[in-house]
Amino acid sequence: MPLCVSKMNDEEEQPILIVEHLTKSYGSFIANDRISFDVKKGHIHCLLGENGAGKSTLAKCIYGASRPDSGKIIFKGQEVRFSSPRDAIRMGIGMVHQHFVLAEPMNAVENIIVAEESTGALLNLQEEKKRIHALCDQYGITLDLDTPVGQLSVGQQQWIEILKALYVGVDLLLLDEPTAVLTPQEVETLFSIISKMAEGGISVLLITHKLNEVMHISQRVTVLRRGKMIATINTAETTRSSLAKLLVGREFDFLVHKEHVQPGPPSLEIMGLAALRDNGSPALHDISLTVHGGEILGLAGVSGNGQPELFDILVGVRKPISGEVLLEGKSILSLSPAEIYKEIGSVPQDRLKQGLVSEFSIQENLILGAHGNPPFCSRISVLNFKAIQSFAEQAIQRFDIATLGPDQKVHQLSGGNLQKVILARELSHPVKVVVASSPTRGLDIGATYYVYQRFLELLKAGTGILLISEDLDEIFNLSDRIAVIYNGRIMGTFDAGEVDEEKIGLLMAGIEEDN
Amino acid sequence: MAKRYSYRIEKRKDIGIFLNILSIIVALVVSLIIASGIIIFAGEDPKNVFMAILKGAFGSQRAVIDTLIKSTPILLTGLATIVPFRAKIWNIGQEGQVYAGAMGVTFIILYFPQMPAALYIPVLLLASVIGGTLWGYIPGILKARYNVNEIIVTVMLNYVILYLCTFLLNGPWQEPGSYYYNTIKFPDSSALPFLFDTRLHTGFLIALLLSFVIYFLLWKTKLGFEIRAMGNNPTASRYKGINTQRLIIIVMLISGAICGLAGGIELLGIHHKLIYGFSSGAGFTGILIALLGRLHPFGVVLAAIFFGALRNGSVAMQIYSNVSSELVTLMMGLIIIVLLFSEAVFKYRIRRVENVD
Amino acid sequence: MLTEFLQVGFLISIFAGAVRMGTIILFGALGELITERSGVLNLSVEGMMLSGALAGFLVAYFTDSLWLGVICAALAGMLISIIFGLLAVVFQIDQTVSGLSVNIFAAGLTFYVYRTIFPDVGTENIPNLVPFSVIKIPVLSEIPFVGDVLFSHYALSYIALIMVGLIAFYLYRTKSGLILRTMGENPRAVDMKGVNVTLTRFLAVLFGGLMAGLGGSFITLCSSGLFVADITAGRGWLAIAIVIFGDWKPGRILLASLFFGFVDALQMQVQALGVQLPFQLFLAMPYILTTVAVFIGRKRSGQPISLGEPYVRE
Repeated sequence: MPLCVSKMNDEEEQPILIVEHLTKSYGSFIANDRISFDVKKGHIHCLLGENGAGKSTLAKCIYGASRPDSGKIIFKGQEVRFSSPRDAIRMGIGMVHQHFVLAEPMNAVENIIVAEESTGALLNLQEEKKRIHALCDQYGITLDLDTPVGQLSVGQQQWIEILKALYVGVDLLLLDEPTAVLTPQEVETLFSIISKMAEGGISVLLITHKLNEVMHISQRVTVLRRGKMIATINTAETTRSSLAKLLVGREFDFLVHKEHVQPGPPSLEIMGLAALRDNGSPALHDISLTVHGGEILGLAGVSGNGQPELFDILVGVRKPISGEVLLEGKSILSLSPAEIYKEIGSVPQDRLKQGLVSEFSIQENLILGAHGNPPFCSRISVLNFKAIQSFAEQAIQRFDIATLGPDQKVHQLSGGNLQKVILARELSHPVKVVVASSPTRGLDIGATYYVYQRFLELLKAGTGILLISEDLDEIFNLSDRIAVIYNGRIMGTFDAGEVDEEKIGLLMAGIEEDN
Repeated sequence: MAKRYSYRIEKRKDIGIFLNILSIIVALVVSLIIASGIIIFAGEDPKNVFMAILKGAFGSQRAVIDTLIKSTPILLTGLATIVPFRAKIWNIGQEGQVYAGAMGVTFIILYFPQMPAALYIPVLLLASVIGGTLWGYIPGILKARYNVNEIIVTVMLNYVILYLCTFLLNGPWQEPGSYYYNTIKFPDSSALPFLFDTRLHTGFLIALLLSFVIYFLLWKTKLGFEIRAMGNNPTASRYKGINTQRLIIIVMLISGAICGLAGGIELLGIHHKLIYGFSSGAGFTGILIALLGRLHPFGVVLAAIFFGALRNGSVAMQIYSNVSSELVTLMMGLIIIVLLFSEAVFKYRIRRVENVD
Repeated sequence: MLTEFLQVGFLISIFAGAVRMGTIILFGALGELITERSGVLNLSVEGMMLSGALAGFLVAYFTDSLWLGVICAALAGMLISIIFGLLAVVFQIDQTVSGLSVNIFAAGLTFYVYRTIFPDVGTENIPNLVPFSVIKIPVLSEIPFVGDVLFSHYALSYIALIMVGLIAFYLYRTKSGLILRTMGENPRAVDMKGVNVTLTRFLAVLFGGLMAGLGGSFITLCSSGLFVADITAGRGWLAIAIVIFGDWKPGRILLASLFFGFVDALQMQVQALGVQLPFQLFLAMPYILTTVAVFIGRKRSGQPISLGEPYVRE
């Protein structure tokens, strides 16, 4: 049921923010191309666009983190030119980033008040705590203000980011993809908080790529595509599918066309796995999953519920404290990562941190993991550069990697190409199972589509895929079967046709239906 | 519409080889200028000083030989430093590992005097390698197994082994009747043979060969690949099957081994006895050489010869002018700082950007 | 009776000595604490301390003013730290490489300057001066035992002890201290609020240089009255180790410094006792203990999360 803010009379529906012909480019790449739109006071306004459409760039300009090359920003009736976020904050614009900016060992109060101009030279933490408590009550936020924020849940960390803005007092709050890391229930709480803000006169600009959210909560929506403003419409006057059309410029096919392949025998069997995090706290309890050849098992779950630890175990970097993992009947727990790599391919969550050596060339990254084996390396440990180079050239061609050559350093590549390098590497030898963690995060539509195509190829070849993802759309698009992980436990495993997003959402939040 | 320009300072994505070399040349020139300034401040003429250094370093065949002799130990410690530094393992214990190698040699000489002549020198050199390796193993295992900061441990161990050596040289290993911290003179059969009828001992050749070995190791072998990968991204390396714990120990062993060898060669090629202070700070200088040589074996060869020349020339400099030989050490430190600044400056560039209104 | 007296006297010397020798390390550690809390790892403490030691000595020797020497020692430490700050904070060159290089440079600089000013120094005619004398706090220093141990110290020691309290207050009770601590954990958090991370870190580095310089001045102007090569004998490194061992907390750093000072003082006194162990073992003791200390401290949770990482605004 859509949330409604009572209609205000025309006098109050003045735009609080007007953006006129804003242009911002990075080198020759035009991220925002003469964008114009306005946000009315007290509205919840969505900025809708796919990854790479220019939403973040636009937000940065409004928020003062970037300076536009040309164009005007008019806020509260005055033209403004921000030289830093500090200026924007002073004028009453706040932003809640997608990736939180918190000092983990410090508590909520300290994180909220640090560097605020309103506090005096000497700290008075007790008073500040009271103030923040009052704010929480006002907006219906429940939060532990004393615990180090690193120990709080992701949803709670987001309330802290929002409180940072509320604490200073904002007139316009920007939220960048706030629901990406929330369970459906936390999303509801967020929306109710936002609605209360809007009722209180705070305007909200919600940046998202999720059509459902737009329809659910906004009064108006601006659609961006490839840096251009396509349309600004009242939400009540449009539909999900017409928005989708505006979003991608063509009839959007919500589903990837998958041939139904009969799943083969069990490839990867995870049984009763229990594991600890690095800091000793429990991460996984009694995890059991089975991936068959030729199928995609989608593991849905909010990040931080044990997925990284599961990934680590499957790759061989972490040892569980109990349980078993069998690949075609043989245990892999005693194998080293190098040995596991011969049979299990992996696409890590953090490309540059876990998957690639940024100072190395493409060809060096392509052999990473297999660098000690023939044909890349001889028996006496000497590298065979001819073999390495020809392999690299083939891989670049096969996987359509946009590069100047196999010698190019990897840190110069774009996100999509980085993922292609990783795929080229992992898929260049026949593997029985692929474990992919958030494989399309941050990729634009083209690159996402490319990844999906490669996955479908794998399925045809009989490989099984364990897809770990937070993105429910992706899970539902691709998976043959879906499992949900919450707090280190599997909350249920279903065939794709048996469940809908709502049920999965509940499970992701740890809510099991009784009966 | 009038075009307006503004200038923006941006970071480059990559420094090409040309700019790399240019930054080194700029650094050398700037250092030269600053050094000249210091010399003038000390009341001397820079031209005289530099000429004295050049003459002392390369002015005669004997001078050149001396330069090469002086570069040998620091070439070795420099090479030893490259390997762990490339893995971002900061071994600062070269000095102690050099002493450990020297003590290994001394141990054999003092307690195993009867040895077949043909085996003597190889065994002694092996003992120096073992000594250095053992001393390098301690920080290696502490870091690999317990993640203990290797910088502090290696620095501390330097002091510890120095005191150990002092104790031995003032006690059981002291030359009977001597007031100084030294052992008896080593037997002639333990001296490293000379090259080509000159005073240049084979240690120099060994060092030069080792530079090729290190080059080959780092860029042509699996181990070198893993070392470089780990130095750049230990996380991804682990995910892709590289055993980083094992690597930490290996690089420390290699580093200790080469430093130990440096100690052994210094003893068997120059001093022919273990005497306190024999290394003249070769260990620490190795760090300098490695940084100057940009952690590349051939760069280190050049840097070592350069510093050997300076050291050798500084003796002449002290005779012909009033400038103290410590200027050379200062210059080396100065060059590194200037080089780092130079590298930093070349990382940025100024771009002219059109302002479109 | 004589032995008893000797024993009490011995204990007094050791405990008082603990404070004295600990002062040097304490200065270095407190300075490095602030630097590291801002997120910067400065490995050139030894070099900064050495520079302070020399500068303090030279100025005091030629001007006959010990306090002027102290001030110049602090300035010298700061000057060296400026070089490090420019390299590591402004130009964002690898902090380890920068710190090591500045260390090497400072060592070379101090040796050269000393040699140039005193070219004909052998082992007999080392230039020296009359160092500070101990300040006995009236009344309190009369208390038997405690008076000698706690209230009869050099001015610099009192300053160091007071700094512990000031720094603790600064870190935990002031707005600026909160900003600093947050910066060490997540510099982006304060950058977004308009704090100039580069400037703050640079200032933190300068403070570290100032304190290291003061620590160095203690060596030449309180402890000994002369300067020789490597007079700092690794105490700069000890200071860095103590920051780790003290889990980045001022109170624990104080205790650790006193403990290491104790070991240092013990080594000086033990020779008077005629103990049979080789004196080199006692000389090596602080270094052995430091190794043990970093081993114990290897899992310290107080390490600032962003320590050692240059901050790049994205």
